[in-house]
Amino acid sequence: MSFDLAGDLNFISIGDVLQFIGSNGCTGALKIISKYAEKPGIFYFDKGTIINADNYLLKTKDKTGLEAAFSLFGWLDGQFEFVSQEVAKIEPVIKMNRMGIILDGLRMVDDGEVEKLGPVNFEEESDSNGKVSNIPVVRGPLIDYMYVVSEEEFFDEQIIIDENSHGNWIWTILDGAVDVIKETEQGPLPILRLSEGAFIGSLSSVASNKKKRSATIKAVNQVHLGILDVTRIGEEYSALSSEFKGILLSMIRRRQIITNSVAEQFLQKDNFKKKMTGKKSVMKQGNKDDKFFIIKKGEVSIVQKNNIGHLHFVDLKPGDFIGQFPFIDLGQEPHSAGVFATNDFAVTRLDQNKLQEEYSQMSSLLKSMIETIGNSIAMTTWVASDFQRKNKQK
Amino acid sequence: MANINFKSKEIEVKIVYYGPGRCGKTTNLEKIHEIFRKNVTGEMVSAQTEGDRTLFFDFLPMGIGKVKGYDVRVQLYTVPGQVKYISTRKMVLREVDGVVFVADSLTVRREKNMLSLKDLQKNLKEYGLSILKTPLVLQYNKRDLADEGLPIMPIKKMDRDLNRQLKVPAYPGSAIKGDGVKKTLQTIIKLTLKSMKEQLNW
Repeated sequence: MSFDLAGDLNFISIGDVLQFIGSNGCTGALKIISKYAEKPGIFYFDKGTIINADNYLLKTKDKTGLEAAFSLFGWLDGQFEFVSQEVAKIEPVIKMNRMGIILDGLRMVDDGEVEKLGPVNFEEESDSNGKVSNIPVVRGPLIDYMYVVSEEEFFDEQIIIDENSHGNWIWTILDGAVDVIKETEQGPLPILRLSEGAFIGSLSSVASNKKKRSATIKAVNQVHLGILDVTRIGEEYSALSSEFKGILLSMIRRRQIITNSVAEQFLQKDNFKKKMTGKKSVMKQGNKDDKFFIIKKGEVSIVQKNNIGHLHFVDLKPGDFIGQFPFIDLGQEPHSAGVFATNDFAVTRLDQNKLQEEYSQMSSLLKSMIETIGNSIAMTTWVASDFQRKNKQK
Repeated sequence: MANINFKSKEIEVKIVYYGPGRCGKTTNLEKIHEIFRKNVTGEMVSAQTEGDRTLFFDFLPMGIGKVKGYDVRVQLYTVPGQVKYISTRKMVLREVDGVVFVADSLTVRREKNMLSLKDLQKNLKEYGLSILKTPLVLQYNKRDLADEGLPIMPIKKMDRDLNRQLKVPAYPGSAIKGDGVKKTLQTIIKLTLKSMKEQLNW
């Protein structure tokens, strides 16, 4: 379909787009397209006045009207398309003035009244003790169905993967959610919830012969999975530069270690002092530097200093990467954690532009998989500090 | 840089009232809305942001006439001071043409004024604007509180605190009584149009 005005919301914000269409007195439909939503959100304009809106993700029964208009301000990441068209059939239910909608909509996003649509959100869940706990949910962009070779369904509480079992299948979640669970000596510990668009299984299974699963995956309710074409992913993976492969494997390793750290926090066995013996600060937390390095020598710890104390996230070794990852934010160093290392510490700086360039040319599937890994690390990091806070309160 | 609306043949000029929380930004705008009722087009829009309300309305200044065949429409905004209102602030401050900084004359608010002015400078910089090049007027608000026996700062002291480097027009005011509101608005419109004329070579 052709459109009269289109662009990226990262470039022009939703408020500005609404003002522009409004002040030009346009009539038609403004579609907001997010990779986290299957259907676009829509604002309807009649001679510059916003008369109605539509957001199918809205949790209320009625998915239209003023509530829908406000909720679309949370679709921060995405594209917009305006099409001039007749709106006679659209019921003009919104009475609020355009500027009022814009100012109130933006305020609601900043006040947290409108949910931001993105890869991660926190759902309020009641656990078995009836306590309400926050478990972060990681979502992903919707995947290209071309990669799905078959579909599978699992039901309530059914185990999809057993920790320490062997296998190299990779799934994407088409519908529903699964829990990532770590087995500990005090029983199973739920760490994260993965939902639509996220991946189960990791790239390491196509990268090496190590096919041991690092966590248990259990269906939450009814979950619909797509089995991905591992051969094809393997081919795409092997076409990457060796540097990029190294970064990916290091990210996967980091995800496993931070998951183990959560279990240690849970068991209150974090051995902080032992891990930090002989290490000195080499990169301060909050450093705005965006340099990116590969570790050549030494043992490295990523540690967060927060209002409770110090929290050890991960231990890294030569071959691992530290600093500002060029294509994704892991929620750790340099912004939210510092780097400590032994005396023999040595690094080599990498060219971010080159890596960014390679990333931008990767297939959408690989990008999404990397996004899931990155978001899982960031969220697991958050879970680790949440446990630390809870332990302190006890 | 002002927005030119080719459809309505109008030049839209954006003027923002900035200042610490509860300094009287919204009172200024409410008074303008009341005094210049005839010049106000459309209703006043208000969003209940924490600390201060965010206000907006359109204003057609008198006695300016057309500029190259275009009418001038002034958009007046207040901006929420609290850090968390990033999205609102971003929309309000982007492409702002003129700023009124409303300072609170109460002695206890001295530090708040200075921090807010610094914050304005930082925010403008983020949108590629320099506080020294942006048309700016200061208003030392709440002068009337002296009558109630509350300790307020002398004008001279406020000038030294806030206007030593800027050297922009500064007026005492009592927005709640309407004093200084008109003068402040007229001056900022005059300065803003002058700066636009220079930029556009009218």
